[in-house]
Amino acid sequence: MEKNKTIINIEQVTKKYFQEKFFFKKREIVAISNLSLQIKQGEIFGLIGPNGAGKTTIMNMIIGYIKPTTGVIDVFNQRVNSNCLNDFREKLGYLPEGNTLHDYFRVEDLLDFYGSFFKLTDKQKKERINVLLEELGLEHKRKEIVKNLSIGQKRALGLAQSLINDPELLILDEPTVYLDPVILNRFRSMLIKLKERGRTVFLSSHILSEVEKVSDRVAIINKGKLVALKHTRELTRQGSLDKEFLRLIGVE
Amino acid sequence: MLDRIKIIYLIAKNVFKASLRDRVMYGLVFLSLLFISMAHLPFVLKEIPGFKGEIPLNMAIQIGFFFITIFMFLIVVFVSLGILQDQLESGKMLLILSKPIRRGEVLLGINLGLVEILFLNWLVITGGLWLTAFIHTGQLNLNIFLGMGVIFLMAVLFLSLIITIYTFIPSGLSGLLAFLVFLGSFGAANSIHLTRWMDYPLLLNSTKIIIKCFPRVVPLLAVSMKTLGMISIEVNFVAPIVHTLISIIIFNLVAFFKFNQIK
Repeated sequence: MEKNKTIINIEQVTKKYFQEKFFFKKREIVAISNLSLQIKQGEIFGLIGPNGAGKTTIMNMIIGYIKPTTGVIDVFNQRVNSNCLNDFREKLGYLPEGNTLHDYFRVEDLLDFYGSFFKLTDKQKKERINVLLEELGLEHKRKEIVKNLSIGQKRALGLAQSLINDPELLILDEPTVYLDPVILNRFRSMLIKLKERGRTVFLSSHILSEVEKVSDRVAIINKGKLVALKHTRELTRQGSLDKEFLRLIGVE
Repeated sequence: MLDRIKIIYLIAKNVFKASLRDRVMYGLVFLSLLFISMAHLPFVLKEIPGFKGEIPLNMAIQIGFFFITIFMFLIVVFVSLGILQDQLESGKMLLILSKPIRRGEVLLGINLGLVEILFLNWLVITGGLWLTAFIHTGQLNLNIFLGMGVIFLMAVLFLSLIITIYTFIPSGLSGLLAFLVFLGSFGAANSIHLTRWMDYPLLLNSTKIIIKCFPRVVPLLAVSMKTLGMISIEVNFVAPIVHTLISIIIFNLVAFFKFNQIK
């Protein structure tokens, strides 16, 4: 495992939105301003910030859903370009914020559906589905329609779909919201196991204690700007992450 | 190549699955079958002594033609808009596009899935009419499928128009705009006479081009009616069908390129 290999390279990225009314450009909103970040292989990287800070925008740019106004993003040394079929997506697992699952599937069919986008054989897919349902405590729900699951179970299923291809890079947007303590505990051990296997995890969360527990490094952003990028233990040296976070974003 | 086709088919299959929970679609198909069952009426009336109407089969086909045309358009508007809104909803798209798939492939898959749904609905409704005719006449009447096939082609054109407009204006308004274009195309053929009063060649030629770009709804309906034996005038079969096929391809290409643009 190459520890210093850069998996995600964000270089001087700025993202501006234009509030439009019909076809006329109206107001310019700077969501991300001149952001540079490097995420190394095998690390769990936490991204925290208040609501509207730009966390989801960063993640959406990394997966290529939206493009930066200026600056570049490389993932696995490949320039992110959504018009192309970037190879890195084969090695990527992603969990968006909120419930975004196709909820008319049965649990196991949903995982099969998402797994079908990857170069997995039917046998590999089946094995992955069994392992993930077992690990996330959804084994007894495999025949259930997704719509009928509880919010927490849907979130756990979302996690399962992000892991279906055994990704080398896992991007998680607010992964722990709605998870009950049992699944949360399982989720933590899964992250540790992934880290041990040299997988890279990039996660954002509002639950600072969670980020504190699992992350190696933490970036704090506020109003689209990077205000701190440190090792978790450095940030928590003088108290809890909550306290440091509030100090850095100017709310004490 | 084969794996890309498989991925597109996977999206189409998913769209088809999503449509199965669409109660509006079931309602429309049920209603259309109910109305098409009225095609049974002329055969019943024929049994009444003194009946002096048209040939019952012709009347039945006219009833079927009327209801199938209306319901196919209603199905396109309600089902496709519901599914487009559901499938292209930002969260689901975000999740799908994080997988190894191109944006254009997603749109192609959705389009294919919608055509599949449309075809199945068309088959059920047309099959209903054909069955009524077959039961009463004992003849195969395959021209019913051919004539109604033109209506299906027109519905696909309408669907492509909705999808294209939806990529620009992602709301229910796209259905209304597509409907207005279709409505406008009824008069497009006649509006060519208006250019008689235009003095400027540039304006005249561009107006003519715009008019020619409109869907050939009236000629298509004429082709369908001629195939079904409802009219006896001379009809050009090739031109409107080729025009429609080219329009479907152009609409889909525009939608494809628009959808591929990332903000």
